[in-house]
Amino acid sequence: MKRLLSIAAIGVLAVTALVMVRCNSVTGGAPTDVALAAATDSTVKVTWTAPSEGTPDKYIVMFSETGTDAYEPFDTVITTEATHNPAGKTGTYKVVAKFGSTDYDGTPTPTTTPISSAVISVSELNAAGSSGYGWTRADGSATTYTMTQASNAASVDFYITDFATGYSGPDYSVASPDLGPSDPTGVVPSGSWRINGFTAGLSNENSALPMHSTSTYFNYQEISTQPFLTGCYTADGYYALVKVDSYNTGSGTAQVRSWFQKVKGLRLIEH
Amino acid sequence: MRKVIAALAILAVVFVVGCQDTKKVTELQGQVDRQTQQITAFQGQITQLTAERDSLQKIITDAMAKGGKIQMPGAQQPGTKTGGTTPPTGGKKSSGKPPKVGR
Repeated sequence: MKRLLSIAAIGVLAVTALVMVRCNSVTGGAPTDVALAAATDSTVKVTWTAPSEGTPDKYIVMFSETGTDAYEPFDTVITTEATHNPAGKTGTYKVVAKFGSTDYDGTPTPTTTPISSAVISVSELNAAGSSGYGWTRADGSATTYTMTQASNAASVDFYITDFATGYSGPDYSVASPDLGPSDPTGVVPSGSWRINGFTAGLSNENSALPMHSTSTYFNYQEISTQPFLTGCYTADGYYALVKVDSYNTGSGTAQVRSWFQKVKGLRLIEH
Repeated sequence: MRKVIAALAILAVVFVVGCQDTKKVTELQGQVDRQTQQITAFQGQITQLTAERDSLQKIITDAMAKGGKIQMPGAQQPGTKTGGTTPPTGGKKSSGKPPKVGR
């Protein structure tokens, strides 16, 4: 009986020790270099660097949809990458390294939420002011550019035109920059202007943009409604949503806002 | 001496079994998470397909009620200027529009 008690006591001690150390060192650290890329045009690949402090028991990869605060786990892995199908949603990603019962939050927490740009007044090609509009790839910000300088060719993603001299319309269009030099106004110099595509009018500004194909994206689109929504696919493989709130043929201006997806090749645009 | 050996043996067995269980739980949890994600994706697809089906049914129902021709969504509407690959015609100022080309 005494011997049995001794063995039981040793067993309890062993289990306690196992719970405390969990087969690993108690020291741990956070994953770093958490980054996103398009796995497909509607799914997201998350990658990161393992903590220098050691190998965690596992990583929990989490997603927080745009407009919400809570993170929901969608995968548990022991490698340093995971793929997520967000079902058309955008949001922020977090990787947590688990060392025993201790969590270490990875950095940074990258997002697929598109970069929103406030309303900017964009001029028709013949009106006073800048008629070119482009997104900076590094931060997704939008800026207007004059179309009369070839040095802006590498920065412009579309321009506003009525494909005629003057700016009285009656129709304005969102046009790919490469159409500039052949525009009847003759004010755009030749250059390496981007060859971008635009969808016909869209009805829901939070739905994923149409998949890129030459039967869906065109060299220009008439602004047929006000407001008017069109998807943009750029020559270097980015998706963006352009919203022309309104245009005025008297002043020759259009009120434009946009959402730029910084993850190249991803057509999710919920915002 | 026998007690010490027995104690060490129990200690080793508990550690080995415990570690294996921990890894197994991690693997199973990963599988459960992936399956849950797939189910979520399928549910989204079902929702989308159901909405498309309902939309088509409504179009057919409306067309049959009117006794007219069925106009599919996305098709060129008479008199509109968007969609399709044909350059739209318009007033005299529209003549400068280039052909609409897919990109």
